[in-house]
Parts: sequence; structure tokens; C-alpha cells
Amino acid sequence: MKNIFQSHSKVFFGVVHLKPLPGAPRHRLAMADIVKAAVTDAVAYERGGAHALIIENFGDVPFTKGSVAPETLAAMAAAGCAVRAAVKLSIGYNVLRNDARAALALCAACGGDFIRVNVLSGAMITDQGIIEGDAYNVLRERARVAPAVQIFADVHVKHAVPLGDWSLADAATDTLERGLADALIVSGVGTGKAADISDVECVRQACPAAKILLGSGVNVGNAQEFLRLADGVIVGSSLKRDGKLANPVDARRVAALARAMTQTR
Amino acid sequence: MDEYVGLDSSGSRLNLPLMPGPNPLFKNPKPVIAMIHVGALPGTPASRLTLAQIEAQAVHEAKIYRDSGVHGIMLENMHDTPYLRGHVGPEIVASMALVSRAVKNISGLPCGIQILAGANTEAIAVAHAAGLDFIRAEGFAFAHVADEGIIESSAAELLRYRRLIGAERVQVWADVKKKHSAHAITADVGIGETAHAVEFMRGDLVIVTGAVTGDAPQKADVLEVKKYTHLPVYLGSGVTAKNLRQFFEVADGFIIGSEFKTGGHWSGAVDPKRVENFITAHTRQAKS
Repeated sequence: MKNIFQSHSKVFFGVVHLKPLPGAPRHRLAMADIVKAAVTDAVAYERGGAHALIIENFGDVPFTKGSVAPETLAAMAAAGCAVRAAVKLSIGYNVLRNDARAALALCAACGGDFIRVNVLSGAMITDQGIIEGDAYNVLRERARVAPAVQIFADVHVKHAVPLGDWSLADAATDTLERGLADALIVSGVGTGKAADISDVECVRQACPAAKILLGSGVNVGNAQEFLRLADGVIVGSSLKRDGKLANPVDARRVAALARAMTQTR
Repeated sequence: MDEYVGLDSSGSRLNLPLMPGPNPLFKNPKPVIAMIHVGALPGTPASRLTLAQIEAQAVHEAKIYRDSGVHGIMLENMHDTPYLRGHVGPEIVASMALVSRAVKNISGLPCGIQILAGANTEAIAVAHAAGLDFIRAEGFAFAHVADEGIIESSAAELLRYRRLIGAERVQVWADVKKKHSAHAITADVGIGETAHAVEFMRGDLVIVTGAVTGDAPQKADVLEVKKYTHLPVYLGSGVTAKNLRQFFEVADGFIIGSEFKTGGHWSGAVDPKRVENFITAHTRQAKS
């Protein structure tokens, strides 16, 4: 199992947005085509110079706040092992909206190195309703099925507001020290929307030694500014052809962002 | 063979479509389906190997089977004892999807899956995602007491689920009066009637077994089942190169595990010689 933060000082995670999977309302494509689209995006990320991939069931709106169904998991496993066979990059999973157990299972099965968890600690009012963090069980499940996998946890995740008046700094500290996250993710209000730089500063100040990742809205224009404070970026939306979410990943856009990131060092 | 008695003389009792005889998945009229008993999966008590090792072992066995001329392959999480009842965790679904896909790709044969115990929904999910062709379902019709506890009919939910995810292509092969189980609670229902219920509940195929893994079925059971259903009837335990002759005429297919393994025990390694030996016997029977 690789620790991605040891291999790169500033890590570039490309998000593979899976097309709607079997069972999801917008599901249209055959499994083979879903897998092919995922592999095509993964290869574009690798060619453009991304360091790692996060595979996400992005097309499956509306998401469940609980456990995803087995057809989702099986389809993600099929896509995951095809991607693994096609690229050399480190791979992780985010099973939306908050199925950390499923993400760990995918790591165990398909050789993943990390997961993204939207709510690990505290509680958020999300578009799926109230989601409570369950670090207790997530960490135990990790020990059981995939002990070496790193957990990247969002702090005040996008498409949600905190339940109660937790400050961002307190939420970050708790997620790190009491939720035992391996990295913290700071995002804007929604997919494609950049975080406030002041929020990143706040989390950095609260958790000086933590690995901090940007979880939305990073592009060629703002990557440098964020990376002064953060250890990596998780990017999907801005790397699609013509910047359109439904399009495939554009290797040239990936390369441009990779270059912009290197210039910060 | 006795006349089929599943329908009344007018054919209207159950309003079943008349099924074609042989299973369209196989060219061979009496196919041999070989078992891959996938190594203990992550998080299970006997788990020892990494998924990559488990996958490599399954692929190795799939190659032996492919090269020996078996007609199909079925995967099963047999080493995950003690089995959960009815549903398994995401780590099992993801692992089986991965291994299944590899086996399907390398073998190019019709492939299926069983997820123990009675995790039939998960099996359909994996089959659909990994491009497999069938699942083996226990507890499809009626109910029984297994070593995991009481297993109840899953047909209604299972076939609705199959439709929901668009996996109608995946056949459901159903055990009747399954091995490793007590059937006292259905003592007044014969094995033939159970098979009949499988057909009524839109199962695709009936599997008859002996008492436990490695035990041959009673020929009388097979004959009775054949009387009660149009569906293909496969044997699901205990058929060997030696006893194949006595079952060849009555059964439509053979699911073989233990016989292919070193020492004739399911937990042994696949022995290419034993597979070859069986296929030779099978070919000989087909010609006679």
C-alpha cells in the first residue's frame, strides 16, 4: 500500500465520475460502456500527469445517505478493477453520499489506497437529509477489511451545512484528532465551486501538521494560491473537455493543471 | 420417463409458458459446470490471502477448467465459513465482482456465481456487473433450516430486483431440498412439488443435490423432479467420473466441485488430471 503523500509533496487527485450505474434512475449505458468511459477518463488523467484517482458514483443522483445497494457496489468494483488494470496510478474510492464501508470494501477488493468520506465526524444537513459521522464504525471496519487504507475526510462538506454551530476550526480538529482522519478536505459550497481561501487558512491554522486537500473548484487559475496552504487537490469538473461536467476528461487540461501545480514549488 | 405432471391436462393450472428443453447458454446438451471455490475473502474468519492472490488462484483454476473442456464455471465464496445468512457485507460483493470478472474474461465460458449463504441479491448484482450468465440461489422457493438458520423463499424480491437493475439476462438456478439443510418444515411437500414451485416462481433451472457437498443425489429424486418441471435439471453435488453413468440419462447438466479437487475434497486444489478424467467419462457417455 502506497502513502501518496510520501511520493509527492503536492498531490494531484483526479476524480473519475462514473456514469449512472445499474439501478440508478438515470442509468442508461451498458456496463461495458460505463467501464470503458471510466477507463478513458483514468487514462486521460494519467497521461496528463495526475498522481492518483478517486473513483466516484457521481452519476447516481439522488444519493442515499445510508449504504448503497449491492448493484452499485458490484458495478464500482467492475469499473475499479478495469481502471486498475489500465493505469499505474494510486486509486481510491468515494461512495456517495457517505458509504465509507463500501469504499473500504472496494479498496480491499480492487487494491485501493484511500477513501474519501464526506461526513466522518459531526453531523451535517445535506441534500440527503441529516448525515451523522460514524468514525467509530468506519475505523473498526477499516481494521477488519483494509487496514492500510487512508481515510480522507471532508470538513463541513459541500452540498451541506453543519448541524449546530460548530466552527470550521473545531470541526477540523475533531475530525483529525477524534475521528482519526488521515487527511482533511476543504471544499466550496458545491461541486465545481472553489473553497474560500480564508477557510483553508482557518483549517491550516487549526491543524498545522495535518494533510489538507482541496475538495472542489480547483483550476489552473487558483491552484497556486491554494497549494501554499494545502497538500493536494482533488479535481474533476474543471478538467472535463470544454469544462462541461458531462464530457470526458481532457488530458490537456489535466496537463495544464499539473504544470500550474508544479510552479508553486 | 414418466409424463410431466406439473400442469393439469388442460395446461391451464399454472399458466406457465412451455420452456424449451436445453439451456440456451450451452452448446453441449448436458453441460459440465466446474466450481471455483474462491479463497476466504477479506474480513472473514479464515481470511489469509490478499485479494490479488485470491484472484490469481481463481484465474489459475479457470484456465485449467477452460483448457480441460468444461462447459461452464461457477464461483462460490465457499471458504467464508461460518456463513452469514441472507446478506453479505460490501467487501464480499466487491471482492466477488473482481474475481468474477477476471474468471469470466480469462475463461470466455458461460459463468455463474453463488454467494453464501442465500445472498442471492448480491449474487445477481455481481453477475450483472461482472458479465456473468447465471446465479445459483438457495432458498428460492419454500423454506428450510440451513446451518445458518432459517432460510426463506427469496424468489419474489430477487426477481423484482433483477428487473430493477436490468439484469434479466442473468439466469437463476434454484436448489430444491438443498444439501446441508433440514427440510422437516416442508416434510409434506415433495421434491417434485418444490421443483414445480421453482418453475411457477419463474426460476430458470432446478438443481438437485445429495445430503452434503460431495454426496451424490438420489436417482429417484432426480426422476421425480423431472416429472414435475419443464426446466432443465442439473445435479449439484457428488457426481463423479465413476457414478456419472447412472445419472447421465436422467440429468440435464452437472455442477462439479469436489470431484475435480485433489483427494476428491472441495477444499483441495483443482487437479487437471481429475478434470480430464471426468470430461473423458462425460464424452464417452454422450457417445454411448
